[in-house]
Amino acid sequence: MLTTIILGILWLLVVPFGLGIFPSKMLKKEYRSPGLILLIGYLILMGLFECVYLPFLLLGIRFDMLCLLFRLLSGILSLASVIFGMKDFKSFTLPKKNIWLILFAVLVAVQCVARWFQGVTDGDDAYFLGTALNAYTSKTMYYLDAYTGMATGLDMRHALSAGGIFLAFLSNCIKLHPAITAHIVYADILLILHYICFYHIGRLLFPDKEENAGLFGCMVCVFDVFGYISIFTPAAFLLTRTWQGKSVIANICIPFVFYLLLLMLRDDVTGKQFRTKRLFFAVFSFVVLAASLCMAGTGPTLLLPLLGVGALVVALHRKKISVFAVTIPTLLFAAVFVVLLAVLK
Amino acid sequence: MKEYFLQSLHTVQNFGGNGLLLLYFAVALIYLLVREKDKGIRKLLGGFPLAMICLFFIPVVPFVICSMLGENETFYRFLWLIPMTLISAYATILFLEHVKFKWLKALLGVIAMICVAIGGNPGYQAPVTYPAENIYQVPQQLVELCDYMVVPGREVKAVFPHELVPFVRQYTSFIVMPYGYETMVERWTFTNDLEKEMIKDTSDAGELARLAREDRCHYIVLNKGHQVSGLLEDYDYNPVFETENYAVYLDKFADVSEW
Repeated sequence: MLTTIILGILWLLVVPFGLGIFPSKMLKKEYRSPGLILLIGYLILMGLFECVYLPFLLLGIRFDMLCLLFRLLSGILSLASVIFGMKDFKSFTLPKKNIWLILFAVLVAVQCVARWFQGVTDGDDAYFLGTALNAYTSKTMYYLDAYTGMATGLDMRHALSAGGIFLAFLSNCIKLHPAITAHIVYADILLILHYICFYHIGRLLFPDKEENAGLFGCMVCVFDVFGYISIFTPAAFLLTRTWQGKSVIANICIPFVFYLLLLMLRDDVTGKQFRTKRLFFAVFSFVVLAASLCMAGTGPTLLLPLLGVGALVVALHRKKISVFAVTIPTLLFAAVFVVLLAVLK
Repeated sequence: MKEYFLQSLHTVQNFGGNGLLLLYFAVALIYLLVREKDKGIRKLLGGFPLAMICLFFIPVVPFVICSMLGENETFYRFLWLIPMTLISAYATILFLEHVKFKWLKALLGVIAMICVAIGGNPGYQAPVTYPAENIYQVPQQLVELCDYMVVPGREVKAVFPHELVPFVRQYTSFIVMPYGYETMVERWTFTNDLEKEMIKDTSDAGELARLAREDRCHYIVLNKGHQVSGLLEDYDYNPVFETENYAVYLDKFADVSEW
């Protein structure tokens, strides 16, 4: 238990946070916060995992080798990010305490605790957790049928996305059964990341009135908790299938794209600072796309129109076509995967 | 093309449930388009979602997504690109910002939240949820059944009643099954003779045993409430373990010893 807690703090908190420190330097001090650093750290971790996982899968290398290499890679990168970002480590802005922020934090904490006591009957879990458990115990990836455990051929359409393998990696890191990792630990982390994302969207929407960001967070909580109007809404996914890749796309990746677009919409910097912000936008457009692909194959299909049209809207409004131009490589990358999915259907 | 338009319409209807939160969103979107002073935000959170909604209903879009990309079952996910929660929450605060009196602002804020609560459904009462019975969040009786059957260092094969099938391989990878969740989804059209026998109103013990043996199942797990004509014992599947609702039968000729 103690080992799991220590490993959990290291791999689920310290490493992702470290990964986020260096890239966050591209943002102005008032936009940088510990929460945002953790969020972008996780997106990097997910995106990077997808990039490393795909060659391993295609070359048929075992899952434990992937874990070993990726632990090494993410650990080194996290350490490097901390070392190179150390200079500005303390230059981030902590949210100012206000009643709405406190209420928001309480509402999020209640949801995190509620998650521990809620079981869910969801068929997709049979595939998602089955895949994770297969990798965790058999050390193979997608060569055992997730539903039955019998040997099977590689289903490339599903295997294109790391999905359950990323969960198996986290389980492997913290030495915890994938079902417990998914339902208890990972689900709470994702819930927190979801609300961190929305809180920062609130900060961008109300730059002159920070308490409104807390109020905005509270409103989002209310919409999420009562958002189970059908099984298809992002809120339904958030509350009942938090740990599944599709939920991460709906509740973290897509809102984060809106965060990026709102960030570029703000006419707050010029010259070199604008170019740095644009670089952040370009880099994280790609990172969030890779993270969405890591979560589910449908990620690029959704993010392609969102990023493309969204960046165009912002570029036209700001009269800076470069805002759109920097996303073109990401859009092309997404388009390749969309075509690949169409071919593999 | 008409069928694609209707598909979009059905998708929205299914997505929106009783429609009240969609109505809230529609009002919020219109309010944002009219009252938002920041042109950039108006374009991104007003114009852009409006364009997405229009695109969703242009028949060529569902045609491309459903027919060409094979996203027929998941077409609804394109509605995720319209940030309904973001817009509804933002427009609500925008509206409250324009209220002069603090007491009225608080009152209207509470009313807005009550509207959301009444119009929506709490996720914690969703039909798919139940109080967790253990830290794995799978049924406790499944844990007991699996713990009994698992043999360290090897796999055993067992057939389970439908209600337990999705959970087995979430809990243990040391039990393999002749069929899994894929046979339970009608539209996926996977079939298995043993599964057909298992879900009959009254299963035939002889057929169950024959099909299970053909599929090399060591164990048959049956819900005690399930009707079976005949006795599995007569076909060499003997009862070896039971929980409150389930009974486990082991093939007399099966070897389930440690390897």
